[in-house]
Amino acid sequence: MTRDPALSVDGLSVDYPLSSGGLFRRARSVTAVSDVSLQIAPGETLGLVGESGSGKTTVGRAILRRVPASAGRISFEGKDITHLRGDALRKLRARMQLILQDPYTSLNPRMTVADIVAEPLLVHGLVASRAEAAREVRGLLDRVGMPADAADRYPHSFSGGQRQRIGIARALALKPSLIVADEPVSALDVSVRAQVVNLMQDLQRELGIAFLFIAHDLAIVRHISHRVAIMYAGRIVEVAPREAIYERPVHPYTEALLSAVPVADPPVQRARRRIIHPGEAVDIADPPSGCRFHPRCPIATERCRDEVPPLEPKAEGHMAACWNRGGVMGLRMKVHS
Amino acid sequence: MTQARPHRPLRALLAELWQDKPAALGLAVILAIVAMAILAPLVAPYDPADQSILSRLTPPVWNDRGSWEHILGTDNLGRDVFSRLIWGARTTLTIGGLTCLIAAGIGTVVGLWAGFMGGRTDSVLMRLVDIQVSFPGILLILLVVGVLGPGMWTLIIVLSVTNWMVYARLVRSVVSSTRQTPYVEAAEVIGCRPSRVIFVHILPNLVSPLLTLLILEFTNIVLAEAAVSFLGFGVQPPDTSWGLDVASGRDYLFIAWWLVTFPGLAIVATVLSINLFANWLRVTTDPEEREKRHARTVAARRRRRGTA
Repeated sequence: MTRDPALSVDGLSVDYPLSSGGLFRRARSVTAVSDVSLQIAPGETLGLVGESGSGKTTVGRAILRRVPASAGRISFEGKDITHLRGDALRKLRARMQLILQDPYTSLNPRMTVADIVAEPLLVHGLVASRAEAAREVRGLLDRVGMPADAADRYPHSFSGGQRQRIGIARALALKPSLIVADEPVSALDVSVRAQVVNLMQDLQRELGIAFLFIAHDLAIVRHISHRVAIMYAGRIVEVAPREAIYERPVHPYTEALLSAVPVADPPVQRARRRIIHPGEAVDIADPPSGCRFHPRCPIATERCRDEVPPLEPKAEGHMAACWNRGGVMGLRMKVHS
Repeated sequence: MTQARPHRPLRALLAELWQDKPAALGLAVILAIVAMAILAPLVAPYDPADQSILSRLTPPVWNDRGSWEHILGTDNLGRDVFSRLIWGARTTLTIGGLTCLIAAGIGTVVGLWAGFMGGRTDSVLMRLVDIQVSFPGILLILLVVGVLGPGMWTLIIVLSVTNWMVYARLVRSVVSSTRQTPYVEAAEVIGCRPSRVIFVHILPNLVSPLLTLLILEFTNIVLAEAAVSFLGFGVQPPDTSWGLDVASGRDYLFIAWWLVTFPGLAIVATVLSINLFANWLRVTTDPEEREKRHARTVAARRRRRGTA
């Protein structure tokens, strides 16, 4: 991955207000995402995995400029977009799209499929006439594998998988170079998940779209991602190419996460050791000092309690944030310094 | 909504209305009442203010003492009840209709603004609503009428000013919950301007709750107008309204039931018709409900054919 990244996020933090400040009290806030950095190359899929409340959705929303970043820099196609506003932001929206989690609520029930898919084209003035819009819509629906007669019907007459295809067609209408897919298949039946994921992969191959694929389903992430980032309590703890992270996890949290995925082979599954780290999930309104995983970590030391571990290279293209797990590269760097 | 269904010919819509007989009847009654109000000078047999002491408190025609001269009888001053009913429709419909529209207009704008902006704007506007709600309406009415002088237009303004809050609250709650829905987020991510988000994605959700509220409020306004007129601050004689007739006929309830009954029935018929028609309209604006209704109609037709 030596090309210029399509998206580069540097030190992103996002605060959410917990309570608005009154006349006499200060506003309280919670840092949902702190110091997250990541890159996505054109045509690449980065899987972003984490448990509920780990901040993965917030990262996606911040990249799309739906929630304000309290610190850090987001650049997209070489341009700093952290502080874009108004019309410039609207124009940017044409290049970056979102696929939402719940296909049942993400389509306006009062609009026909044709109107839903054509809306981005009309809003950005990309089509001159209704006839042209109808032509474009037919092409888009065909591309996502929907029948042509779907155009005149309303969303309620389609199944979840079909609706998600409509949502994908809408996102594709503007020919974006990056799509943030926020758990796009977790609301779907297992039987149609693969179809939708395969569709996304096909589209990526044909159109060179970069995906930020947010999910908690590790099997699907493994299937679709080129690289995977693991989040814990608002921080990225490990980023690596797909095979590296699944075969040679570095961070203790990643290990535990992977060991929780069952293997579809009973003898193997019985022989596996399930790694469980006891302890409460982190309350991110009051996160632990140092490494946020240290209260549950089996190899935590004094240093983990006091200092935040940096996300640093542990092997070729493999970054992790842990003081006590040094990869080959980590050792080599120590020798050098 | 015109966005959603572009070229729908009026005929198809009328055919659909015909499938729902009560709604069709409702629309017919509404149109008849409106026509009656507009054509009052041609339809009414007497001047509604003409008094005739000799024929006072004549009962309706089907009563033993009744006569064809006064189909629905006369009141305590010998005025023809039927003519008063026809002329009263003018005032009642104008006041009820306009007040509801103006109040709903103010309320919708305020509620939309509060619900869409959220945060501080929302709190300020909603506290404003709370303050006005806690202020007794009748006091405000008396105050304004005292300053501007009584009359129909004063009444419309005053009733609008004292009744918009309920719309604001309803609209705000619908808007602020719709604003959170994923399809509104999708619209914003696509790059829709706020005005488009409001008019295309949020406003259509208001149709059905607003229709329901408008109908409920219409009766309220008719009664409020009657109360104010009864106090002498509203509609001034020789003008009349249904509410005023009900209010002033109350004293004769035991000796002349027709004074209260006919204007009362007129109010009921109007509200019921609007209700039947509005119910159809509500379903028609919701694509999913509409398809279900269509399916039911088709199924019923098949069943009938099957048994026949």
